Amino acid sequence: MHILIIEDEYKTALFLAKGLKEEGFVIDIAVNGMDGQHNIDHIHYDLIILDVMLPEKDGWSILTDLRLSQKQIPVLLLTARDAVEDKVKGLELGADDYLVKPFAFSELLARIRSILRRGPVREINIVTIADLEVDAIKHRVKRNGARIDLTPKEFQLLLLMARRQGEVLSRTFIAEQVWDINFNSDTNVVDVAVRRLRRKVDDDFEHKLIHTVRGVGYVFEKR
Amino acid sequence: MFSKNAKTKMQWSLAGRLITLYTITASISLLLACGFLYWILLSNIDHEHQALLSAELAELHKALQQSPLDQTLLKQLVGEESKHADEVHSASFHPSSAHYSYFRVLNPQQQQPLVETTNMSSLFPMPIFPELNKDRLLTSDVKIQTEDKRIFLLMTRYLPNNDDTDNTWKIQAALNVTQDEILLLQYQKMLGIVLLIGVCFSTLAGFWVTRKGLRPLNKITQAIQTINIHHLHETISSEKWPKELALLVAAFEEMLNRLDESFARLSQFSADLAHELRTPINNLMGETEIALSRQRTLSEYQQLLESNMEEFNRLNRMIEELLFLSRAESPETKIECRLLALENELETIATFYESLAADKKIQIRMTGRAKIFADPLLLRRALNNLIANAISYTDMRGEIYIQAIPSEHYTEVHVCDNGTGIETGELSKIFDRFYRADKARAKNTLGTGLGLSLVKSIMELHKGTVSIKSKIGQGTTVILRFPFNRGV
Repeated sequence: MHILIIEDEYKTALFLAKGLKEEGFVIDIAVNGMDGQHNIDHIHYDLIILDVMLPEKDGWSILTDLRLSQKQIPVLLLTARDAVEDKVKGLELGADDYLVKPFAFSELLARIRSILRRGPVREINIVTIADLEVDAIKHRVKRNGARIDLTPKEFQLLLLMARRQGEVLSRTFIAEQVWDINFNSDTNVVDVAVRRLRRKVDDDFEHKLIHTVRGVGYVFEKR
Repeated sequence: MFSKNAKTKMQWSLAGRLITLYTITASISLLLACGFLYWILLSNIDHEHQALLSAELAELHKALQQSPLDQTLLKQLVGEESKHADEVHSASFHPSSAHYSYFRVLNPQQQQPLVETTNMSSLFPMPIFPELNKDRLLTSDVKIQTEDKRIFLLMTRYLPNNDDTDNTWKIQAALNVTQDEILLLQYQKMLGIVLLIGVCFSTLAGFWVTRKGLRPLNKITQAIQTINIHHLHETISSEKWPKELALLVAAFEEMLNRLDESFARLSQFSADLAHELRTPINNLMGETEIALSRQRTLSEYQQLLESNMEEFNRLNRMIEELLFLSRAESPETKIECRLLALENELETIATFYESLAADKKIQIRMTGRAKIFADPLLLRRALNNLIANAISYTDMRGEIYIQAIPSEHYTEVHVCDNGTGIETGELSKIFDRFYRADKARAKNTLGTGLGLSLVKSIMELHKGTVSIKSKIGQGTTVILRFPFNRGV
C-alpha cells in the first residue's frame, strides 16, 4: 500500500511516516502543496494524508483538483482546526475522513485501515484466534470449547477487537464503535469495560489475548 | 456609485443635518406665510376693482334706462372720467388719487359706440377688449400697459336693456390700475427681502440652537474618552445628563459593567488556565528530565513514555474542552437541534457507564419518557458529564436515578445520586471553569475540571437552564431544562 503524506510540519510528517512504515505501508512525504501536487500527478497512491494548511497550495485546492481530475484516490484530511464547518467542507469536497490535531496515532491507523477496507469486502462472521471463537451471527463466544456468557456490549467489544486483531485500538475509537460516544470522554469507562471482558475471556487461560498498550489503547492478538 | 452616495450621506454630521432641516422648515413656513399675505392683498385689490366697476356700471345703467336716451348725461358720465384721465395724462400724476378709467357703451348690434370717453378709441380700440367666446362665456379680464407705462385693466360687461330683452348694452371699461400694480410690486420686493432675511436668520438660529443642543454630546464624548480599563465607569455616571442621553448613558454603563465582568472573568480564566496547564507540563518536564539525566533501562524508558502519554492525553482533552467552551460562547455558533426520544439518549449513556457503575456496585435507574428538542451530540455530552460526575462522587453500592420529565413548554432531565453531596457555599461556584468541589479527590480523577462548565455552555446554547441541589451526605440532583419547541 502506497501512501502520500502532504504535511508542512516536518516533524509530524516524519513520525507519521515512521509509524506507518512500521505498519507495512510505503510512504512518500511532500512538505508543501506544489510538491504534493507533483507527486499526485506522477505516482499512483492508494491513499493521501493531506494537511489543510499548506504553503504554496492549500489542502482544499489540492483536494478540489484531485476530485476534478476524476482520480478516485481516498483522502484523509488532517487539520488543527476542528470547526464543524471545516469538517463539513472537507467531506463535501470529497475527503474520505477527517482528523483533528492532536490525534492518537492509533486513531489515524484505524481510520486509514477502515478507508482502505471500504468496498466490497465482507465482514467475517466467525472469527477464530487461538482457542477463541467469536460467532457474530449467533452472538456466541467459545474458548477452548467452553461457552462464555457476555453482556451485549461486552460481546460487541470483543467482536470489534477480534475483527481488528493486531491493530492497536484507542479508547476513543472503541467508545465510538461500541457505545456510539463520539467525543473524548474523560472517564475510564473503556478501561473498566475491557477489564471486565478480560476477566471473562482471559483470566482463566494461560495465553492472554487482550493486551494493554499503555497510554494508547488495546490490542487483541495471540502472542 | 450608489454605495458611494450612501456613504457620503452617512458622513453627514448631526449638526449639519439639523441645521439644514431647520432652515428648510423655516424657509417653507416663511414662504407659505408670505404667499398667503400676497394672496390676500391680491384678492383685496381685485375686490376693490370689481366694486369700483359695479358703482360706475350702476350709474351708467340708470342713465341707459331713461328713454329716450340722454346723450349728454351719458357723455357726462363717461366724459367726466375722460376729463380726469386727461388731467392725469397731461398734468402731474398722483399715485394717491383714485382710479381713472375709460368707458365705452356699445349696442351689441351696432359696430359704432354709442358713447365713449374721449381719446379712448386711440388708446383702447374696441377689438382689444375681451369678448364672449363661443360658449357665450366672458373671457377673463385683460391687463395691458400703455406707451406711457400706465397699466390698465380691460373689462367687458353687459347691462340688460329694459325695453328689449334681446338687446343688451355692452360696456367696455379700461380701469387704471397702475397704482395697484406699483403697490403689488413693492409688496413683492418687500416679501422677498423678508424671506431672505428670515432664511438667513433661521439658518443662524439653527446653527446656534444645534450647537447648544449638541453640547452634551460633545461632553459625553469627552467623558467616554477618559474611560480606560482600570476605572470603567466612574466618569460618566457622575454627571446629570439630558433625558435622551441619560438612556444612552445607562445603556453604555450597562455595557461597561458587562465588559468589566468579562474582563474579570477572562483574567481569572487565563490565570486558572495557566495554573491547570502547569501541572501536566510539570510532570512531563520533571519525569523526562530525570529519565534523561542518566542511562536507564529499556523498561524505564518505556514507562516514562507511557506516563508522558497519559499527560499528553490530559492536555489534549483540556484543549479540546476549552475550544468547545470558547466556541460555545461565540454568538455565531449554531447548534443542530432535532426532535429526539430522550429515553433513548439516556439509555445510550447509561449503557456506556454500565461497567463503570457495576464496578462500584452502583445501580443506575431510569424512569420517564419524553421528547426533547436538542442537538444529539451536545445532549449526550452533557448527560455524559453529569453521569460521570454522579458515579465518581457516589460511594460503593450507591444509586443514580435519572428521570425524564416532559411538560408543555420544556423537557427536564433530573440526574440524582445519593453520593457525598456538595456544600451549599460551593454550589454557586460549581459551574466555574476548573472549579472542583472536592479538591483531594479531584487530584486522582482523570477530569479536567471543565465538565460542569461544559454542561452549562451546552444548556446556554439550547437556551435552556441547569440547576443543582445538594445536601452533604444525602446526594446531589442536577436538573437540565430544555425548552421544548414543538413548532419545529
